Parts: sequence; C-alpha cells; structure tokens
Amino acid sequence: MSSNQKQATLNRALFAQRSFDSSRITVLSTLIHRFEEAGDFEVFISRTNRTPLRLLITVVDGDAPYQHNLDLSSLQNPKERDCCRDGANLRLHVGGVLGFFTSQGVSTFQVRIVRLGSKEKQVFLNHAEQIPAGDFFTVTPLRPGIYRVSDPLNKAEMALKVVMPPLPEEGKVEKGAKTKGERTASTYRPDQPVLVSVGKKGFDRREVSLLSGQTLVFQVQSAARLRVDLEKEDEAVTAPPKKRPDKPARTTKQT
Amino acid sequence: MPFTDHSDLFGAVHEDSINRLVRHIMRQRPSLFNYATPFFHNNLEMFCAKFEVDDKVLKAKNPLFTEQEPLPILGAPLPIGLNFCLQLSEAAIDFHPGNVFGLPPELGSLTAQRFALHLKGCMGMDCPTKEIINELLPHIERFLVSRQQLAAGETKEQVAGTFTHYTPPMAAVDNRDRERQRTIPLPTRQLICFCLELYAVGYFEWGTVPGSQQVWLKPRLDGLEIVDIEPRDMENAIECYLTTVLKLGILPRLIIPLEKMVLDISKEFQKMGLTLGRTVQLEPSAVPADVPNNPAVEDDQIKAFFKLTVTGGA
Amino acid sequence: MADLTVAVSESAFQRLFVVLRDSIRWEAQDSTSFGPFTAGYHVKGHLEGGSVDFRSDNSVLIDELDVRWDQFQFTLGLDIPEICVGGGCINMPWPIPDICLPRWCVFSANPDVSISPDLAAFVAQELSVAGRPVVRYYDASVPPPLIDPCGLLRDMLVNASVIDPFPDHNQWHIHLNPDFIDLDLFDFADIVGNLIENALTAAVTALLPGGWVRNLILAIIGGIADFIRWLLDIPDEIDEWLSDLFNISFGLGDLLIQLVGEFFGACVPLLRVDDPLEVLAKEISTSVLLSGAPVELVPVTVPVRNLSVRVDDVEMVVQADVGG
Repeated sequence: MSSNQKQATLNRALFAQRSFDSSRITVLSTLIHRFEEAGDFEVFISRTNRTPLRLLITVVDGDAPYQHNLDLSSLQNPKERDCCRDGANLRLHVGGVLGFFTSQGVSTFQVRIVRLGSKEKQVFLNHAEQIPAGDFFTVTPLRPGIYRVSDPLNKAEMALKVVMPPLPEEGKVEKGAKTKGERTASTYRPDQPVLVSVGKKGFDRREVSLLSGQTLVFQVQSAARLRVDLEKEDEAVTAPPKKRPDKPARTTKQT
Repeated sequence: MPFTDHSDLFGAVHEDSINRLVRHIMRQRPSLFNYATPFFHNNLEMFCAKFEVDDKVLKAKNPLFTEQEPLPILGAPLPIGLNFCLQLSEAAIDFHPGNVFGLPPELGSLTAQRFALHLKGCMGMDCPTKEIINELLPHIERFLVSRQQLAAGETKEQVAGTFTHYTPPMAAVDNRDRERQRTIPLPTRQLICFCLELYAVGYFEWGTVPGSQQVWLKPRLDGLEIVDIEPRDMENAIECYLTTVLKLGILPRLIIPLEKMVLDISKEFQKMGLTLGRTVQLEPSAVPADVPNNPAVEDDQIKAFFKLTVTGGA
Repeated sequence: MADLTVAVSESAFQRLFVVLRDSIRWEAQDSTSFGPFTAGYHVKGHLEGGSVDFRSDNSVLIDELDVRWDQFQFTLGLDIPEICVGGGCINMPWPIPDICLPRWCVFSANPDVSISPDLAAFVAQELSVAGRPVVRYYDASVPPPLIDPCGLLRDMLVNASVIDPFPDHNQWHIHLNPDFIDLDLFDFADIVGNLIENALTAAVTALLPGGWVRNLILAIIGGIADFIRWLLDIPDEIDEWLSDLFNISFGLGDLLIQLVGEFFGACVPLLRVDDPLEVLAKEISTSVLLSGAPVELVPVTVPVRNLSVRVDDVEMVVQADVGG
C-alpha cells in the first residue's frame, strides 16, 4: 500500500487570529463600504510599511454589479518609487458595496476612499479612524472561547461566544441511509452569518453565540470603531448537534 | 479409426491433388515445361504436344516457353542451326494402390508402400529440305575454300569469299545482342516429333548415413522403364544409365535428416511474441516404434505422422 | 476422400495448452477521471489450472481456467475540494442589496490525495469457454456490412499488429465460435472496502493539523469516511462500488468477455487460408528469353475447395480439396 499527496500549505494565519479591529483589515475580518451616490472615487489601500495602491471606482446608476470583494493580499504591490500605482478600475452600481478583506498572511491593511471631481477632496472612508454609518464590518472567529466586543465611539460592549461545531461520529454511517451524491445531514456548513447592528444605543443585543467559522456581521448605524478580543480561550466548548443548514441561494465573486 | 491413433499430428496428401497441382503449374508456368527456339513464338501450332495456358499468363504476356539456341549444325563453318522444341508434356504420380496409370510390364504392379512416377517428354526437330541444303551447299563450299579450311589442305587458287543470301528472321536475332554471335536457324517448314514415356517406381526408407548420429529419410528407386525405344540394347543401356544417374547422382542428394523435419513450435510462438517456458517440438513419429511406415504411401495418399514433445522448464 | 487432411490429437492440444497456459502472462494499466477523483489500475496476471476437452458434439471445452493476479494495484486519487470558513450572504432590507461575504480557505491549494493498495490477494477469477470450429468464406468482392460489429475490434487488433488486415482476395476462415463464455466478473471481498477506506482516511488525516483546528476541519468536511464516500459518490459498500468500477466503468470484465467472444467468434479467424493459394510466387526471370531480358512471371495459384473442420472426442481434423 502506498499513498501520496500534493503539498498544500495550511493557511496558519487563520488559526492564529485572536483579536479583530475595524481600524485594520486582517484575515477573517472584512470591511464593507456602501456607495450611496454616483461618481468617481479613489481608493487608497495601505499595507504596513508599503506604498499605497490606488484604485479608481466609478459608481453609476446603470449597468454595473452591486458588489465587489477585493482580496487585498492578492493585489499587486506597487513599486517603491511610484507614489500611487494604478490598480484596476472598477465599476459599481449606486447603492452597491465594496468589500475589503485579506485571504491569507499576517499583513494588515487600511483603506481610504476619497471622491474625485470636487474642488475639495471629500474623504468618504478612513476606517483607521472610524467606520461611517451605513458600512459593515465582519469578523469570522475560529478559536473557540469567549470574546469581548467593544465600540468606544458608541460606548458599546457585547459578549461573543464561539463554540466548536458538533463533530461527526466517524465510522457511524448508516448503510442504506445515504443517497448517492448527498452529504449527511450532520455536516456543518459555516456559511450562515449572524447580523448585529451597532448604533448610538450600542449593540442591538448583549450576547451573541457563533459556531467556529461562522461570520458575525456588524451593521454600522452610527460611526463606530469596533474591536473583538479573545478573553477566554476554551477549546472544549462544543455545540450540540445541529441540523445541516440550507445551502445559500447565491454566492459572490471574490476579486 | 481416428487419424491420430498413433501420433499427435497427422497429415495426408492425395495423389489426385498432387497431379492436379502439377497441371495447374503446367498451365500457369508453361516456360518450366516447354523449351524451344524463338522460331516457335510465331509457330505455336508446330509444338509436338499441344498444351493449355491459363488466361492470366496470356494477359501478362508471359513467354509460353523458355527460349533455346537452335541446335547447332556441327562442322558448319557458319553459325547455323536447326529449330527444335523439347516438352515435358505429362507428369503424374501414383501412390499405392496403383490406379492413376498403368505400369509397363517390365515394372510389374505397384506393391505396398511404393509410388510410381510417369513422365512423358516430346521433342521436335527441324529437318531441312533438300532444296535448302542444295541452295546452301555452294555457299558453304565457297566459304570454306575462300578461308582455306578444307580437309585437303590449302589450295593455290584464291577464291573470293561470299555470304549466303539467306537472312534470318528478325525474331531470331535480338537487336540488342547484335554484336553477340547467335546461331542462325535454317528456315523451318515441318518438324519431326517423337515422344518418350518414362516410368519409375520408388519408395521411402529411414536409414543411417555413415558418420552421422541421426537417422535420415531416403527416397529410393525400385525400377525405371523407358517405353518402346529400339533397339532393345540401346533401351537397356539408356535405362541403365538413367537408373545409375538417379541412384548415385540425384537421389542421394535428396536424403533428409531428421533434424530438418522437426518443427520447433517454441520458435514459432516466439515469432508471434510469446515466449514459451519450455521447448515444444513436432518431430516425425519413429519407425517402427510409433508407426510402421512414415511417410506411409498407401490409400492413394502420402501420409506423415508427427509427435509433439515438450522438454525443459517446469 | 479429401485432397489434404491434417489432424491434431486431443492429447497434443492438452499438452500444448499446459505449456501455453504456463507461458501466458499479461500486464495492463489504465486510469480514468471521474471528476472529483481519478481511479486507475496496474495489473499483472497469469493463468493456472484448467483443462481442454474435445467433445463428440464437435466442440472444444476449456474448463475452469483460473485467472490469477500477481499484482492488482488500484490507484485512487482524490482532489479534495476547498475547505473554507466564512462566506454566505446577508439578506438586507430594500433598497440595500444582499451582501455576500468572503470566505477563508484552510489550504493554499486544493490538496490531492492518492492511494495505491495492491488488491491481488483479494481478487480471483475463473474462465470457462466452449466453442465449436466454424468455417466461413471471406469474399473480398462483397463490401463490408453497413453495421459491422467486428470492424472496430478488427481495426483495433490490426493497429496493434495482433492480426493481419483482411486481404483484397478471397480467403477461407476458421473461427472458434463460442457456445458460452463463463468468466467471473470482478468481485472484491468486504475486506477490500475497509482496506481502501482506512487508506484514504489515513491519507486525508495526514493533511490535517492536530488539536481544535483538526476538529474544526473535520466538522466542516463532515467526518473523513463520510466525506470520502460523498466525494467518491460511493454508496454503502466500497467493495461493490469497486467491482462496478472495474466491471463497468473500466469495463475490464465486460471487455474480457467481449474480447474472448469476438476474438474467437465471428470477428477474428484463428486460421486463414488464401483462395486461390499461391504455390509459386511471382518471379522476375532473366533466363526465359535468350536475350536475358527480365520477364515477370505470374504467380502460380491453385483454388482451395471444401475446407472443413470437425472435432470429435479424440481429434480435430481439417480437410480441403485443391485444384478443381
């Protein structure tokens, strides 16, 4: 008997992430900005100690997608001598959103969006300072345990409990119970996000519970600066078996 | 009774098939059986024995006979000769019991395990007419005198040389070989034909050869008869000579060692890409241990018996 | 009485059969992609046992010939799909469009896993064939039928130089027309299923880190054994699935029967005899004409008539007439 396998590197950064901060984009967190007006926008993406990358976004009230998700780790690094090397130009429908995330690595990113065309540069987003109302910030904590969620701008706090999904019992597949091509009902799928809003009155709930790998989405109703910190690690916390969630209706393209 | 009662492989050929095969070869390859001067290309009807030719031979324009130089006229100072033809018109074999042809009384009846051979050959030769000879003779004489080639020795008289007015037909002289001297045939009007029939009786036997370690299959001649040649002593002399030639000159060359009759089946499979782990051979069944006669000449057939031997390996 | 007779004894066939059986060995390999996984085989085998029997009803029986496998290596390669966290979409109230979230994947690329267990010890087959010799006349002037089931096999064998192409002249063909072919299909023992499942589990497990990360990944992929079954579309019994794979997907079982049947049956003759048969080849002779000019002499051929084959309980006899 012999076996072999193709080398596939484990994305270790995912499992090392203990805290999230809306002022920096790291793995497992996403900043989502919503463009409510048509126009041309400049997006500057700064990576630690590197020249920022510049993107042009054209928001139109016409034929354009409603969402782009930008994987910041895959965007090309600008050369040192260039001030702001042009990246790709994107088109977006009015009301559409631009998501910023990094799929791997330990780098952190910051994003600044300004509007072009007006005499005065109008800064729409500088999340290093705060996330404007109408935007979203997401975290996908993997390490099980108790997290503290805080927003100093709105003076809000909330507890986040992350538990391990139920482990399937190996070797206990019932013969004859399985239909061809269909996975068993016990399979856990982490693509069911939980939405929490944050405003001047704080978070809309006091406590949230997630399965490891599930995403918590903060809908920012009043400018906020969010932090999520692991306070108590607990690998033993495991959720009871749960019925397999339905498959999501649609997926989006990640740029 | 099964064919393989005393052997692993049995093969038999009937005399009729051999005789039919010979007739097919005669029809399709007539040049093997008919020999004649080029004169016969335009005078096929003058062959002594008429012969059939397959259509494909005619379509392919194959020669119907093998060309021969004219029969030279010995002593003639010029290269002149006579047209002739030589044909093997019949050939047949008869395995015991004899029923294909009758043997002459001198050979008696065909006994067990014997085969008989019948050959009929015909020859036709031109005989120049008196007129042609009379016409040529003065020219020959004048030529000899002019060249001082007389038996009486040289003459004092000088005679100018001359050529005959006879010009051979173009077919007799190949343009490409004009420089090579060909024998010029005399004009032919008729042939004198005669045929001879030869009968021979033979058999096969296994035996040793001094100095050899193996057994050999040997064809042997029992008797030979040429029919109706006169005088009797000349017939006897010719028959004796032919018998001696066959027995000492030809048949000893036809003996076959056992090793030549062994088919190595392993090698045959190897040619097909399969290597056998053992040596498999087909070899003639032994006489008399396995079968009384091998080959056996009986039932109007020649029969061969083989045994399969497997040696070596596991 | 026939012009030519050749007879071979049953005993000679039996001895030759033993030598042939002991000498025949084969090796084959192939692989097929089934989307999420690839499967292949590398097999080596030989024959054992069996007997040849000439029967009085004009048939030959090759009985209980064992197909033994020296190597029966089965290779299964999995292309494991992405194992990711996050993702999904948020349904937002109008006019805000639904927002879909990015995913983070555990591996930098889709990991491939392959195993190659040798199943030789678990596979055994037996072949029994009975057939009767049949003589057919191949008329080259008759065009091939519109639907020629033999054409494909013949072309395949001709291309592989196993047999000569059919000629442009007539021939007598001797076929061994099968009465029945009894060949065990591939039937793997239960233990083979466990063997493969364990090998795959071990190979996939080796990819994963330990601790809570492993538990998380297992939770996502739903258990290795279950995951693999889902991935390979295996029903409950791997051994049955494996048998189907070899018999149907690879078509080895059916192919063997088809090949044996068609090879010895209608498609491929065991023996061919030209009609007419050439006894003297065509020849370019320079001795027929006095000038020495070359002459192409036509080949000498004889027609072959009434070719027949029969078998009784002691021998096989081939007879024919020539000339005519």
